[in-house]
Amino acid sequence: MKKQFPAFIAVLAIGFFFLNFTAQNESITLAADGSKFEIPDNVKQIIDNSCFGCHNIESKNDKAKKKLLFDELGELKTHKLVGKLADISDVVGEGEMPPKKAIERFPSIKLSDEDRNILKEWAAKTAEELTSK
Amino acid sequence: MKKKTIWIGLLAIILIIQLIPSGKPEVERNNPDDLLQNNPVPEKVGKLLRAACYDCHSNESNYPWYAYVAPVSFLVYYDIRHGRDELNFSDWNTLGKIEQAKLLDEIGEAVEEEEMPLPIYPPLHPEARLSDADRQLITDWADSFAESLFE
Repeated sequence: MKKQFPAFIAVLAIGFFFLNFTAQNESITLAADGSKFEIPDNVKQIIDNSCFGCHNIESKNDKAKKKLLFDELGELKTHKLVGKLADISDVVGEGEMPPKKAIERFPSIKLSDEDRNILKEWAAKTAEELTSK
Repeated sequence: MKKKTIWIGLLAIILIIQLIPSGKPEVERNNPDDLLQNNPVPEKVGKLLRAACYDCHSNESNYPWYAYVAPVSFLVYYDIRHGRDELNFSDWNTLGKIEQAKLLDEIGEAVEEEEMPLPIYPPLHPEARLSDADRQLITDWADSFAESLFE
């Protein structure tokens, strides 16, 4: 029994190591039905800066919340997720989002052309990947 | 005398605006890629879509008499052009899976939130007045149909 104790600690340590490893690797997210999709750090940064303010569960903007919640993307089933991603790609690409009024109030959320393109391409590509699986 | 001139002027304006080309969206009854022709949409849902959506969201628009009279015609034609642009059920089967998933998500949302049909439409089209149960039926169908695309 005594001999087993160090082994037990070792197993725990290895377990924690892997848990930690997975936790750090945030960019892979799971849809409700198990599909995997990735939000790379640069995209996450753009979303945090320009979209998350309205599209999060705590937001006071009810319309934005109903349309899309970035903190609950992983809870959508694949078909919903693909629909939302395609919509993101469209509205970001066409410059509908972020809305002009929101930019007037919070100028820092404005997307540069480069960031707009990164976000648009990411959403379109991820929708494609989820569809071709 | 003055009143008479105003009336004649008004009549003249109305007559003249009838001559402005209004770009009436064409009607086409033969649509091989139509949603309802190619997909197993439940009968009741199909009827609701036809009654409440197809006038603007398909090539099978039914024009009431007043839709031919300017300036009402301008508004009607604008709505139909815009509606077909966003979503045209007559072309459904030409769309890819991603576009279909996006539209089905938007259909569910717009119908649930009572954004659609546009508020101006049901008063003149009693068959397009959707009950809560009708709306639920359409949103549920939109979700399950989208899900079936990914099975």
